[in-house]
Amino acid sequence: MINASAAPAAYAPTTRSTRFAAYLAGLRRQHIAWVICALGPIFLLFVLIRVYPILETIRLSFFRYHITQRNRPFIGLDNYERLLEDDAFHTALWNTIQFATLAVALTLLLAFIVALLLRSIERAAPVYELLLYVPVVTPWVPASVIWKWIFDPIYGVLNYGLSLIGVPKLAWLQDPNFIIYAIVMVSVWKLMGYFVVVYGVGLRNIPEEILEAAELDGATPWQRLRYIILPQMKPLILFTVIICTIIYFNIFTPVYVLTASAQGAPAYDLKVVISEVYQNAFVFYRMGYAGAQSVVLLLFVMSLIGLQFYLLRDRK
Amino acid sequence: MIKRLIYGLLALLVSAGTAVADTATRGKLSIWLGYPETLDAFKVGEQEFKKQYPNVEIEILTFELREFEAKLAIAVPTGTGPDILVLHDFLFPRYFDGDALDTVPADLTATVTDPKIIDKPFTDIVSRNGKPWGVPWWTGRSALFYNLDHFKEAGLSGPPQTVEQYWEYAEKLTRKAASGELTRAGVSIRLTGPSGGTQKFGYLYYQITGEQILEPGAKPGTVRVTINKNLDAAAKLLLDHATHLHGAKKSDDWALKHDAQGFASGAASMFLREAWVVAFVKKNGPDINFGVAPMPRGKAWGAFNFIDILSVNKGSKLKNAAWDYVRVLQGQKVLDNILEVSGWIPLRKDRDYAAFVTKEPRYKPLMEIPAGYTQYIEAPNPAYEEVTTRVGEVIQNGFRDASLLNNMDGAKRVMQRAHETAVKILKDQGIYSD
Amino acid sequence: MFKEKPIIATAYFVCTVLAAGAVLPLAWIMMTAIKPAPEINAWPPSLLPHEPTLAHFYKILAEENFLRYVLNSLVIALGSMVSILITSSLAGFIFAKYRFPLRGVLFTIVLATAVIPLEVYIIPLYLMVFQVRMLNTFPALIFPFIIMTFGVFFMRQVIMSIPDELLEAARVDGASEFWIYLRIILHLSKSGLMALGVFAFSEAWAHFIWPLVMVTSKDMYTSELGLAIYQRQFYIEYGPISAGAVISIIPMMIVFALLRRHIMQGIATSGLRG
Repeated sequence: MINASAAPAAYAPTTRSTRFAAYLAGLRRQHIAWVICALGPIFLLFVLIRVYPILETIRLSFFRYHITQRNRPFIGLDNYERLLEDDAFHTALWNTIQFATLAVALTLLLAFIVALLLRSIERAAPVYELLLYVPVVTPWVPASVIWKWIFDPIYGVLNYGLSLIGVPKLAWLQDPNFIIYAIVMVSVWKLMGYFVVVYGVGLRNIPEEILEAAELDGATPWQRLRYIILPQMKPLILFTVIICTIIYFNIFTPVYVLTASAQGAPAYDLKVVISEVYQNAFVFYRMGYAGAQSVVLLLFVMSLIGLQFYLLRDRK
Repeated sequence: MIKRLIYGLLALLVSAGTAVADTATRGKLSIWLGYPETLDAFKVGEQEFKKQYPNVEIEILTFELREFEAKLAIAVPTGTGPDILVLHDFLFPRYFDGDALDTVPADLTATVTDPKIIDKPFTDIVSRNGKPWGVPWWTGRSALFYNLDHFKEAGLSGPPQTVEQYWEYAEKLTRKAASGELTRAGVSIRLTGPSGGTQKFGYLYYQITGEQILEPGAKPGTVRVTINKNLDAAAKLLLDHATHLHGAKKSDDWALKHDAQGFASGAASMFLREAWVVAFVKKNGPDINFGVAPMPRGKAWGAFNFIDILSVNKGSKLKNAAWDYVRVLQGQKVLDNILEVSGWIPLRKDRDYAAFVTKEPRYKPLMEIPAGYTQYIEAPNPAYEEVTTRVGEVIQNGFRDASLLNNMDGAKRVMQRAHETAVKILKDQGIYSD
Repeated sequence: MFKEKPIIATAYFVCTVLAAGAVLPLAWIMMTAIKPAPEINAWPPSLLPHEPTLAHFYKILAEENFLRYVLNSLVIALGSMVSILITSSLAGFIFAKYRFPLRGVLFTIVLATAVIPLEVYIIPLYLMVFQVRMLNTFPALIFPFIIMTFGVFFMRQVIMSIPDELLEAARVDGASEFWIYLRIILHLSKSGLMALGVFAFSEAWAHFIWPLVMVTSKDMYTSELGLAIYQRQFYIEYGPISAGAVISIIPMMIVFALLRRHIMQGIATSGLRG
């Protein structure tokens, strides 16, 4: 993950031959007691509230843990074997991959373009950034309620808009061909604003002189973007890709609320990994199996992040 | 005298552990409901109950079914569930298996096991090891709901009697815009929500095959899958659905409002659903002029019943009070309210519903069972939700597949897949029977 | 950045369209909330109501104790926010400004926990709360949200941009590390704290699966839970649901409106250098 390698260079050891005494002195200089007192309790909280429950979930994935049954035998890798032939899970994983790829690409690409364009209208930029940020602070449930209404096949304003250009009424949330785009649309709407602001910060940090110099040398806007701006932005792009990947692989609430079927119960018309996990755990009461699914998701996202690091790393 | 006193004290001590908990007359009695529309009936019961237990506070939380199930799943095994467990028949086995249910008191046992009061199939569903573990309360009996105005307009004089007529009428009732777009569904088919989808598909499946998709196996507690045995009929049923979802005879579309909602807004002319629809449509579509009819006939003729059961949580600190509440909920006033407000049908036969049926004759087909009209229930099993969900996914994907039109082999393959899906889950749960 | 005329024109056009797209859905729901029922299902739809009414608000407030839910949400969101601000700034400070053994490992562990969402490990958490007999209490509702991985990461970024010389100067003057944290770090990362605060507030506000399993009485419902449950029950009437959505959005919008400048500035100072 994003590790300490980015720590300021000032902290690098000055000499390679550090002896024990110097090491102790170093500890004192670095206020090790204070570090323990300050970080210890917080880290313990992380262990208690995040690490332990996650490890417990991993442990349960080796058990046949049916939530209402007392008998919970150890079954080794059976849950994982079952995963191999569980079509629903494969569909969910594949949908999530498609969804996340599309949503990450669209969110970040649009955010980058907007952030870039805003730098040309710097005076008006704060107003735009503010407006684009409004969906970010809108909680998911009301946001989903809003979009459910917009996507309504009969009275929805989206179908109304489309009918003006001759498109027949579409069942956005009922038709499996459209639902993924509907949820991508909502997700991009919800999160783009955050990344516009983040990219805006990165772009403002690029020294204007370099760009001006390039302009004087006759560089076209495209060349300036390709050879100056993009290389400068690379670490930030990596960061946003990772954050965005995590968020979208964990997508659940909008799927849960938006796909509530006519009867009120979630129809899961778009299967995503977390809805499968939730369904197995709380509807089918297969806790151990849900645990195995979470472990696969964890490994998958971790390796994806590793891959992103590898592909976008600095080749110095 | 002293001896007696000592014995008395001893007896008191022995019973203290349970007695203190059981005879408590103050505290909070908590109830969670997955069918919020029955809240009103509990409120009616509460007034009665308060006379006996002025110091017991009642707290009823309502959730939608899925959230209710999730909450129960987490809370009950840890002993933090509500005092009264209001369980549907398919949830019941899970909590019985999990040893979460209190023994039913003698008087209520007598009531539940009396065939003059509760029909035997409903008693059976709550019975294990020869005794009941809950009180069957109401049923969600299936029926056909149809829009009288739409029928008149299409020149149809009454509800469809057979499954063939059902499809035929659906075509006649459908309305299309000039563009070919459907403006009104002749029949609202359950197209989303896979577990409900299996159930509704199963309504017709029963009529044409005489069996449910899942039937009890030879050994108690086991379940067999009947699709492959009835493959031709099952595939034909899927084809009938495909025919009315794609192509010239199209009678329903995903973009229309569906189910009770669609029916109550006049977007659908008929559909198969359960008793509660009457109360729902009266409230949400007061202008809709509709009728209720028994299910259309095929080889067999029957109505599906799913049962709501009142049990008491073994971990409850107010067991006596909880059972007294259950007793109160058997009263005429409460049951009238269940009928009137939520539209579900009380199971007790020793109460009088005549006045209600006179007032709302649409309940007649639901409450006065004609001869030969079977009342059937799902084979209870702890994998019910999973099987119906997964099988429903296969079937509903089949609905969407336009290539199934006139493609019997394709339909057979889909139904075979549904069969295998069910078998796999049942095997995994160790309750599969050939 | 680009001074070419066509680019500036494009910029105004594209940004205006997208900003409208961002805000219009909210405007739409607010308008729906004050339209009388027949107008809601009118075709073609119109944005502005002809006869605005507050009936839906009365209805939802009469049927559901929504104000209480909002109040609960406020307590939870504020509690979570305060706790996250303290834990994140302190942990961020340590990770940003000190070198110690296992620092990389500890930081990686903290970050790795963000990969899996709460829904997945909700049962072990539930059992913990249950074992200390705290179900249905505010502390239990806040409990999973007293720390935030992103917060630690974010505050580390913010605090890294504070020059070391300032800390050294304070140390020369004899300041303790805690004093430095309190007086220098917190002071200089104010905007970052505000940005994180709003984010933490909205995160805690938005959760609904945790409150769902945690509450056992209606007076502990949060506005998200109340709305999620309500929208299932009344799927025909969009008016009251819209009113509920508006009620649960408004507090967020007020916080956002009040702190907007700090939020933007805070994200800016974090620099966000991976």
